[in-house]
Order: sequence, then C-alpha cells, then structure tokens
Amino acid sequence: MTELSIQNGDPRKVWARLGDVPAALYLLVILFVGLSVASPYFLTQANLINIVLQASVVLIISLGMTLIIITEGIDLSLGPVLSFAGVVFGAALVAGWSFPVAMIAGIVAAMLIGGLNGYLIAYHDLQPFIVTLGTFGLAMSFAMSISGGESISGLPSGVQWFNDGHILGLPFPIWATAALFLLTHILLKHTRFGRYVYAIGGNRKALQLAGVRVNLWQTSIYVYAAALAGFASFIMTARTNAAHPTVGMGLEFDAIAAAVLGGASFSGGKGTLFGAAAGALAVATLRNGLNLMNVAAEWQSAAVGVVIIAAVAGDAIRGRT
Amino acid sequence: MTNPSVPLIELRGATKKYGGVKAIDNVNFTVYPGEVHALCGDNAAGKSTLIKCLAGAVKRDTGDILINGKSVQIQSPRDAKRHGIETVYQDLALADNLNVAANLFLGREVMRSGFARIFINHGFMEDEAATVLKRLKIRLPSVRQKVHNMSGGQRQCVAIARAVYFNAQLIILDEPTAALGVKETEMVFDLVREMRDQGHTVIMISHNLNHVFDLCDRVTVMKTGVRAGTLKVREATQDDVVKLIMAGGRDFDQSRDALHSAPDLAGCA
Repeated sequence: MTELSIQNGDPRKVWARLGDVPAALYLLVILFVGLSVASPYFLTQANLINIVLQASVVLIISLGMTLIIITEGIDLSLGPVLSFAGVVFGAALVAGWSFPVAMIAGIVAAMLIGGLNGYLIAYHDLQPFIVTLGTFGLAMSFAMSISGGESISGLPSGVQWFNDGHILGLPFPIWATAALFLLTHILLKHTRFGRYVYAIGGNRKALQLAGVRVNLWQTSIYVYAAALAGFASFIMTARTNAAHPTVGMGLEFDAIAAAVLGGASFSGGKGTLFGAAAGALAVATLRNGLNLMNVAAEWQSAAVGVVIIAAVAGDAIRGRT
Repeated sequence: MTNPSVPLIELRGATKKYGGVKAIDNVNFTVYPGEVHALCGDNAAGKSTLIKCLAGAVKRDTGDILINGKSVQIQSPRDAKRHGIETVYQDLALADNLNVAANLFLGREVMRSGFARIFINHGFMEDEAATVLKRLKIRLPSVRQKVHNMSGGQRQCVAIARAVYFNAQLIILDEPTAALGVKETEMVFDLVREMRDQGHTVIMISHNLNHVFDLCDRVTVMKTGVRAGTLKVREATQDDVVKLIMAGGRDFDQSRDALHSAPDLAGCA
C-alpha cells in the first residue's frame, strides 16, 4: 500500500506555515514595536486598557462575523441589528422594565433579525450578501421607528455600569469581551455547532449527505451572530448613556475587516477567532496610534483602509507561493 | 444473521423521471450479502440515478426497495443510513478543512458523557478513527491531519472507511477511482479487496472492466435507463459485458446460486 508522507524539512511547508499566521498578528507586532518607540504614552496601562475598550464592541461582533464568513457567508446587517437591539433595550428600560427583561428583549430583537437572515439564506438558498443587505434596511427602520429617530435618553443610571463598571480592576466591557470570546471559542472547537460551522464552509453538500439538518444549523449561526451584536449593544448604549438608532453604523464593516485581517477567507472554510480578535485589536491599535501621532481624524479611515488592503494583498501573495 | 440466498437489497420496478426524460425506467436490481457488485454502463445510462435511489439522494417516482426481503421506505439520505446503506460519492464526500477523524464522524459526532455531553469527544473519535484505518490497512500520517493536504487516494480511502466504520450493511461506491492516478487507484482497490475479504457488501460504479473482473462477483449493465442484464463475472468475459454496454440486453439476471457455493446449506436441505 502506498504511503505519501509529507517531509518535515520541505521549505515550502515552512513558508506555508508562516502563511497560516494571520496578517493581523504581524500588524499588531509591528504597531506595538513602532508605537512603543514613537510615543512614550503608548505602552502605559491606561492606554492599553483604552485600546481594548475601543476594540471591544467590534471584537464581539467580529466573533459572529467570523463564524458566518467561515460558512462562506457574510452579514451586513449586524451594525443595524446592534442599533435595533440597543433601541429596544433602551425603550424597554424607559418603559420601566427591569434590567434582565430589557436585556432579553434587546437580544431577542437581534435574534429575530438573525433568524430571518438564516432562514432566507439556508432554507431558500438566497445570497447572504443580498439577504443581509435587505435586513440591514429592515433593522435600521425598526430602530428608527421605535426611537422616533431620536436618541432614547433618561435611562436608569445603572446602565453606565456596562461601560464603567469594574471587576477586579478591569472595566466590564473587557470582561464581557473575554467571556464571549471564550464562549464562542468553546462552541467553535468543542461542540457540534462549531464543527458544522467549518463543515458548511468546507463542504455543505457533504454535510447534508451525512444526514445533518444543515439548514437548521446554518440558521442558528446567523442567530448566534445577531445575539452577540445584541449583547454588544448594551456596552454601546452605556458609552453614551443613551440608545441611538444609528449607533451601529459601519460596525459591520469594522467586524468584516477584523475577521479578514485575522485570516478568514470569503471563499469559506477558513478563519479563526484568535485571528478576528487580533484583527479587531490591530485596527483599534492603529487608530490609537494615529491619535497619538496627531494624525488628523479624517485621514484615519483611509489609513485603516490601506492597511486592510495591504494585509489581504500580502495574504494573497503568500497564498500563491 | 443474514441468509445468503435472500437478497440483501432489492429494487423492484424503479422509475425516475426528470421532466419528460426517464433516467431509469422500471429497473430491477438485486444485491446479495457479501458480494461486490459492479454497475457499468455508458454516460446517462442511469447508473447514478439508480444508486441515488438506494442512497435516498433521489426520490424515485415508482418502485419498491426491499432489505432482507422486507419492504422499507427510503426517501432521504437519513432513511438510507438508518437502514445501513452508506454511499461514497465521487467528489462530495469530505470537508477539506476538517481532519481525518472529524470527517470520519461527520454528522455522527461522538459526545462526552454526563454534563459534558454537549462537548465533542475528540480523543475517542481520534482513537476510533485510527483503529478503523488500521483494520482496513489504510496508512495515513495522522488522523489529525486535514483532508485538504492529502492525496486523492487517501481521501477516497477516508471516505470509504467512514462507511465501513458505521457497520453499513451495504456500501455504495460511486466511481471511487474516477479522478485518481494508477498508484492511487491501486490503493483504493486494495481497500475494496480488504472490505470484500472482511465480508462487506459493496456496490461499485466503474468504467474499468479490468477492475470489475479483478474485484467483483457480479456486474449489472445499464443502458439508456433500463437494465441490460446482470452477469456473474466468473461465467462471463469482458466481451460479454462490452456487448451489453454497447448494444443493450433483455433485462436478465443470472442469479447468484453458483456464486458462493455454500456447503453448509446443502446439509440443511
């Protein structure tokens, strides 16, 4: 019987291994070294905590986005879903609902949109890009109509704890982000849910022929991603102590950027949560660095855009060799 | 205990239409326990539709399926699996981005026990995968290796091992060597030989008559949606089969009595 073993010393293999390290990690290292030298303020505890705080909301959304991208999908609606969940949460609190009930209401609102996304994509085989473009508008209109287009303020003071609260010296958003990262990691690596996330991206048909209810699992992935965005909306609401119907604007793109910097591929089957987290942190670090370097705010988006394109181009070149 | 004179699986009068075209038309097809049964025929002869009916991947319009003489309902891949029919498709079998063990257990993940039963039992599945590969004499670097990095022959062997592991009564191979080189093909056929020696029942679509005559007990030839005939390989020549493929035949079935002479049965009579 033939055996085709892979030689360990093969230089192409080593090069391929390097290619497995996501661009986000290289970027983070470069930024850390560069900014440590350039600014005495960068490596202070306060600044580092600030970076993680800035990254937290995008990081939480990018976890769900990564799962979806692994399945060869995309979810453009997660930004408006966050707005919608936040507005429901805020309106519920103003209406006098208790905290837990208002939180559940916000997350359920998000999950409904996620369920609609998943249902249309999985059961009706519609393109994720188109479906979530549609629900993008839907969620945005829901948020607008519930809030009357205005910020919902006058929230109970307890809300701020989601942003300012400290546990063991670290702010709540950092704990929440870490906990959701861990939860998603365990789901992805140690449950059927995660196994099928990868299998849907790797070979959906094979999974179907293996007798798995693929449509149901695929739908649940969109529901989970929406629930994460719903949770992130509490942190976002706490930041300004008000629920604003457009607060999630553009967050879906930051989350996609984080996932892609982290090595997720739009052709499906590939992506890691560590990569996405590194991607979200890299973007936040880059923005932080540009602030420290006094780069004008209007050019920061351009810098982030250039870095994303450069990173993906780098990946493509390494992938080709 | 299966009785070798009762067909393991029997398809009676199966018809499947796509639009106005009959992909298979009133086909009878019988497989006995322990045989390796080849399915031959030109393109569009109906071979794939036939096995897809058995695998539940296609809903036939008419016809019955009997397993061990009893009528069964097979309307979906889940149904087929429940009845012990495992199918290895040409190119749809594996998720490239998962490792060998994960592919072997795809859709049938083994979970931990007790409170931890929502978690996948990686260790158990890896051990079991290594065991079944060893039993089938399939040699792979590691069950943790992603399928993506493996050769075509290795991948096909993993796909087949998956069917074997779950104690399939019947294993259907859809052109298992279609895209493989000579060496790789040999690797897959070694595996089929090993399966035959271990008493598995196999249906194999093949275009290569040398392989059919080397490996199989009987061969069924399809021609434009109908069965041209079923031959015992030991009593036929390659020319006989070629004639059936080219010219068709009158839907005959050489039964299996002489195939595996069964001395213990003679004593019973």
